[in-house]
Formats: sequence, structure tokens, C-alpha cells
Amino acid sequence: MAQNLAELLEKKSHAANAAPIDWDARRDTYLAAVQALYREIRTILAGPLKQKTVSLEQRPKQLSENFIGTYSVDDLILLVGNEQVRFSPRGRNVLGAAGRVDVVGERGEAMLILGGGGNWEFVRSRQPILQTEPLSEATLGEILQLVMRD
Amino acid sequence: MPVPNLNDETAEPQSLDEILDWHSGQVGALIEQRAVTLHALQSGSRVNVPLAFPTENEIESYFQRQRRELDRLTVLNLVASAEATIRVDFFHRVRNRLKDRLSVAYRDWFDTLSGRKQLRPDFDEQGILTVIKQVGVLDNHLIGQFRECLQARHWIGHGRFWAKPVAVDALAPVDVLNRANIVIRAVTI
Repeated sequence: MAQNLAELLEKKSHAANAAPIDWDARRDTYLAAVQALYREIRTILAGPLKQKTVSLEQRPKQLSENFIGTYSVDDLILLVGNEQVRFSPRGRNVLGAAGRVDVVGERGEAMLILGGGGNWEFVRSRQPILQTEPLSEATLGEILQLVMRD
Repeated sequence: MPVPNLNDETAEPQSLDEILDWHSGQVGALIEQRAVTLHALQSGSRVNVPLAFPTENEIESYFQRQRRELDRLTVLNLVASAEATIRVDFFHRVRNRLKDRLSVAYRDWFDTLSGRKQLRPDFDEQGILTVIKQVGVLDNHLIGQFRECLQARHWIGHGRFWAKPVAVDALAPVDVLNRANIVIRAVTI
């Protein structure tokens, strides 16, 4: 191997060792947070679920991310009448958050982000000022009104 | 002879090289910003991009759009600069009554124009490029290649509301620079 190439790789190797990232741990933390989100949604919707006003299904899908690789994660499908809303994990590696789940309805989309404290937040507005709100029964209602048909 | 004032102190002519240098600088800045942004994706550090919690694919898509827009605006500037150079040369030849074939053809055509058109003669169809083509100072296919750049400039500069000419995506700024340079070197003094 040429001297210059060897030196370059050596230097890069040391730079990486300075702050190693445990990508598997990041993925697992994200997956656990997604499952916690789905439990929270089930808890919030416990009444309507019991009354069979709504139903929930989980459907597995594959996500691929740099460094993490390909892994399996579930979409959560909320069925209300003849309409559905999909809670769709977009990945652990997002800028400014520790993970993201998009909420996709027939009228629009909303975004949930995983904050540094491990709590899910609803991105209420992006412009002109970024506004987020912790996920709660009230914000879930707001999200569903935003993404579902009138 | 109504020839426009070409030396106004507020004019800001740009050479093709200045424009391409600006493009290179902006490409470098985009590459740097992309690298910083992708690194922030790993490290969790803050970075200023106008995207809300983007994934890596969304970041890549954003920088591809920025680069595409940069290239288009550069093409717009390059073609506008080339047109300006050719127009200035045109007026120089007409005003100074030069005796070469192209200058004589320019002047003969200029004399047929109305006063308003003499101030701003057409450039492409039935304009300066047509006179250049008729005189034969440049192979027709080279003029044709430059005209493709004009189509791209026209689409970019006028709102992009009609079907996109093939040249818009087919021509990189350096291609436009080369085509414009060929015409400028062949027809300007």
C-alpha cells in the first residue's frame, strides 16, 4: 500500500476512534421508542378502541439507513370508518432529532420527532419558527384533524 | 445613429470566466455545507439548513436541488454575458464603420432597422446571430449549438412555465461556457 494512502487511512481511523458511535444501540433505542409511541397511542385511544370506533394494526416494513443498515420496523395503521392514518417510521438518522415518525393521512402529513429526552413531539409548524409540542391526547387529536379528510 | 450608451458607470458587465469562478465557489460552498450537514446527522450537532428534521435521503435531495438551481442560474448568467459581449461588439463595429465583412453586414442590416430597433436590435432569430450566420464567419452548427444555450436561458429567465427545453438539463455550465466562447472568439474583435 502506498505510504500516503496508509497515512490517510491511519489518520481517519484515529479520528473515528475519538468518538465511536454505537449504531446498533442507536437503532435499538429508536425501535424501542417507536414501540413506546405505539403503546402511548393505544393508551390515548383506549376508549375508542374498546368501543370499536377505531382499530389499530401493525404492519412490518424495512428501513435502510447509512451505518445502521437494513432493519425491520412496524408501521401503525389507524383505521377509522373507511379512512386510515399511517404512523410511518422514517428512521433514526434525522437532523436535529433522535428519530422521526411521519403521520400520513388522506389529506396531509404530520411529523413526530424523538427528542433528546426520549419523548415524542409533534412538529406543529416549521416556518417561520419551528414549534413542537409533546405528544398528548390533545396533540394527537390535532394531528388527526390535520391529516384526515374533513 | 441611435446607438445605446455602453459605458454607463452603473453597468456591471461580467465576463464568462468571472461567472464560472463564482459558480465554482458556490459549488465548493455547497459541497462543504453538505459534508457538514451529513456529519451533523451522525454527531447530533446543530447545522443551518432550511429543512425540518430531514432524513439523509432528504438532505441529499435538498443539495441536489440546490446544485441544479445553481447550475441553471449560472447558465442564465453565462448566456446573458455572452449576448452582452456580442452586442457590445456589434455596436462597436457599427459605430466605428469598420470595413471587414461582418462589420459591413452588421451596418447594412442595422440601417434597415427602425429607430427603436436600432437601440435594441433582435439577437437570435432575424437578429444579430442571423447576420453572423449569413456572413459565414462561423460554422452553422456552432451557431446552432449556441442557440440551444439561448433556449435554456430563455426558459430559465422567463419563469419556466412552459415545456422545458432539452438543453436545460443537457447542458452543464462548462458546456455553455465553451459554446459561448467559440462564438465570441469567432465574431468579436
